[in-house]
Amino acid sequence: MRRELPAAAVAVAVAVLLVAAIYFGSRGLRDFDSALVGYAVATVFAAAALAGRYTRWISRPPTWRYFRAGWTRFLSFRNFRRYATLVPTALWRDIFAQTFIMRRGATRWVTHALIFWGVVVSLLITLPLTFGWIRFTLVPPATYQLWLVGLPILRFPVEAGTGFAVFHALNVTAALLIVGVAMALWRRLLDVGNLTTQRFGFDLLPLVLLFAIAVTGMALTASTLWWEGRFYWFVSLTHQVAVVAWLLSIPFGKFFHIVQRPASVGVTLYQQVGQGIEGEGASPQPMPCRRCGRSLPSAQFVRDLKDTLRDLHQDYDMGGGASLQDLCPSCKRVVRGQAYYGLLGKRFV
Amino acid sequence: MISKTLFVDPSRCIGCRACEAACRECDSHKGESMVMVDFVDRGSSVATQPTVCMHCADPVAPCAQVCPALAIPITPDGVVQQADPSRCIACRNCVYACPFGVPKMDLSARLMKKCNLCYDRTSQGLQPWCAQACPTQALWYGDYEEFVAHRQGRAVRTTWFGTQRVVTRVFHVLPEEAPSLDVASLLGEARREVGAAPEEEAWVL
Repeated sequence: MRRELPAAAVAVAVAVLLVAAIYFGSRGLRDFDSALVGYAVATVFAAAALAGRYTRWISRPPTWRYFRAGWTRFLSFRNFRRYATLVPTALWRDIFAQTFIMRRGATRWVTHALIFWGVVVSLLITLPLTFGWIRFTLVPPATYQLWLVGLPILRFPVEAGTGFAVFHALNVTAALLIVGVAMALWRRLLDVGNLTTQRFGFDLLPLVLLFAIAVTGMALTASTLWWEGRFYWFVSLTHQVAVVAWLLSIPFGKFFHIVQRPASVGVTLYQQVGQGIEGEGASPQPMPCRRCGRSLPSAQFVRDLKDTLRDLHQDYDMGGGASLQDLCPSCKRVVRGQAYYGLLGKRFV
Repeated sequence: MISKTLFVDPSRCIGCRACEAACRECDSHKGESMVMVDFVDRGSSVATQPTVCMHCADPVAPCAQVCPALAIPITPDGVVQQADPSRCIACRNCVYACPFGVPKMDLSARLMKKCNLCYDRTSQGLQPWCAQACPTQALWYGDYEEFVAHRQGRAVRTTWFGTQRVVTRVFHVLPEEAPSLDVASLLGEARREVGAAPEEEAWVL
């Protein structure tokens, strides 16, 4: 039985938890950098909206079925040995290496990898900074101390390679983003198949925002190092506006797929592992097409699909205890053709 | 806004597969045909049937409704597009829910592909590749009034699968006396005519 999850309550709860985590993580706001408050507030709103949207998304009949089935299989102790290698493989293929994109094209994989790592590493650095969870202090004469939620983590010389890597990490991720976004925009501007089907708000705007974030982010470094601080206020404000717009667009636009994509790991579990209940084999029970005998995904899959369709007020019961969903796609086409020629007889229209 | 659509008349199909070859030229699924030409009863007949996406209007796109990832977009003019590559999680719900057997799944690329009515062409006033290439007008592109003025047969948008009615944006061309294509009852009648023995799956020839 599907439950209507209270999206608004989940959104508020996530916002409250995040605000509490910011408060305690920054030691009662003592470590909180007030110059970054805009980013922190936008992140809280984005997290709340993301939680609300996510809750509404998984409450949809087809999504809820996969969500429940994926977690049921994952949390089954009986199943553990079955997915011990399956889940890491799926995580590598779908999340970290994204090798499935390679099948869509090597250039697309490079493009996506650059954008993915650019965004993810940038977020891993900037979110703890804006929340006041990490900070740096100078230990005279030329050593920096890195603090994480009030704990001393790392001490390094300012001029050493470690210092350079730490302070320029966001420039590196910005460079990854600029190359990746340029490649993506190039494809979207030239690929004839994309030109009419892509949507500005969904496909292009997020790329433009990422580009603006990366360029203005690097400009902050340029202003500090080479422009003697000129334009800093203007650049930092522009950067903040772009970042806030991007953060608030995540729950409602293209970047929602960041939280959707892990569902493909759940789907892999669903497709390849049994339910982990008594009487269920290691693999899902097979089901042949009712007409040609070709394998359908599994008996459970077909049952769940029929239930989902019924939830959506659709029932393809064909009589005689059979359903249209008992057929493979090829046989669905053939039986429709047979019905057509049964109606037509040996004549032309 | 597109007012024109496809009209599918299997009785005119000669199985030449020009539609499939032309479909492979489409830029949105390069090198792969989204049109399927099937032999209807391969052992005893050369009859073939072309299948394109029917772009279901009521219920709206069952493929999109059963998609857990909200990956299948529908344009304002009712054209059901192939899955958004960033969202498709390759669950295959769409493939097996589609009453017409249309979507294709590339599991390794984790991407569903389907006919999108050559949106790059039709949105610019051109015909879809399949209709452009079809030598017998088994796949014909135009508006309803044009069809009635120039073609024989009855263009219907309603297909019944048992008790489930599906109204589509793409038309089937049927004999004048037929108000709809009722798949389950027609298969039952055909089976009775050929004197097939009663069996559990009565509607499967």
